[in-house]
Amino acid sequence: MVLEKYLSQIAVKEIFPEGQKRIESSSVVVIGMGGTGSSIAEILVRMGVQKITIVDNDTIEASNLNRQSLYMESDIGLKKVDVAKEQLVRMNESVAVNAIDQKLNFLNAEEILAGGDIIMDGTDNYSARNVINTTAFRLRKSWIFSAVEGTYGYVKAIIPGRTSCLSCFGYPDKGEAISCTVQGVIPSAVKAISSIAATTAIKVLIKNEQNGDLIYFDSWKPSLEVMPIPKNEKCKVCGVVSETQIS
Amino acid sequence: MKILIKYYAKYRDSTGKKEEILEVDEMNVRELLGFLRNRYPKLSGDKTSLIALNNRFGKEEVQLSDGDTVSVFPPVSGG
Repeated sequence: MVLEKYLSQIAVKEIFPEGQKRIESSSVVVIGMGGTGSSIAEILVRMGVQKITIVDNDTIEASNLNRQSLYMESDIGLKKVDVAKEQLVRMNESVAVNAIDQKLNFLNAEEILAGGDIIMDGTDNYSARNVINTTAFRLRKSWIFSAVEGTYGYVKAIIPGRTSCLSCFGYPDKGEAISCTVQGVIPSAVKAISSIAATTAIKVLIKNEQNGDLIYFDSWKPSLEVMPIPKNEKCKVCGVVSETQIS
Repeated sequence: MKILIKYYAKYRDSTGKKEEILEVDEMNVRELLGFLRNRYPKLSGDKTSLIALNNRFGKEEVQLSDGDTVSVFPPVSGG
């Protein structure tokens, strides 16, 4: 049964033969269980990740249901992490889900992120990403940045000591979420960006991927561009001064 | 000197263009962004824009050269 579940992906040369073992032995932390976070969690659990921590303090709203496929109409008003945990276990009974009903901040981040081999960004605001970026660098944890709006979005692997980080190229470090119902987003863009983010995570986990290029994808045009982002030695998070202060 | 400017995502609506070639004086990447914000006030809606020079993100103090390509992206926060 276990092998049968994953036969189709094990048949892919990029996964075969050791990749599946690595996927199943990995621990993943997903911050935010909205559009991207819930989609990323679903992909990774269906692929065989056995240990996942999901973090969110929101409740399910009707406006979530067009793109957040873990949630149904009957779930409106319930906590996202509770419903997501139940759904993820239904998808793959061997997964252990640690559901944390909290908003990530600098006070709780270190404890939450420390348990992951990789951290997935399912957040919807600059401030939360700054918490992940700063804390993940301090803990030397790899994380995958993903953001989406309208018909387009970004994905980037951030690997401490190897790649540039989110602050290296001027990504804002302050700012709360603008509701998706205000700024707008189409579900297919959310799914596309989530798929790219999940694939990037798998590459980091099983192939020791060290590429930190920024991936830009527009699902409407459609177009995809990949642009290198060199490390910025003056970066306030991962620059030379920061490295010296940490070590 | 002539610079190819490529606009991405919502900046295509802000400028009404996917790309254009502009004739500009000597300036660096940061100064070019200021130039563009004056030319297209809607670009000023973001405090920060992400700029790649010749398909590579880097320092905004780099001087532009004739024939360079500058790509301008909005920051995206949603998820």
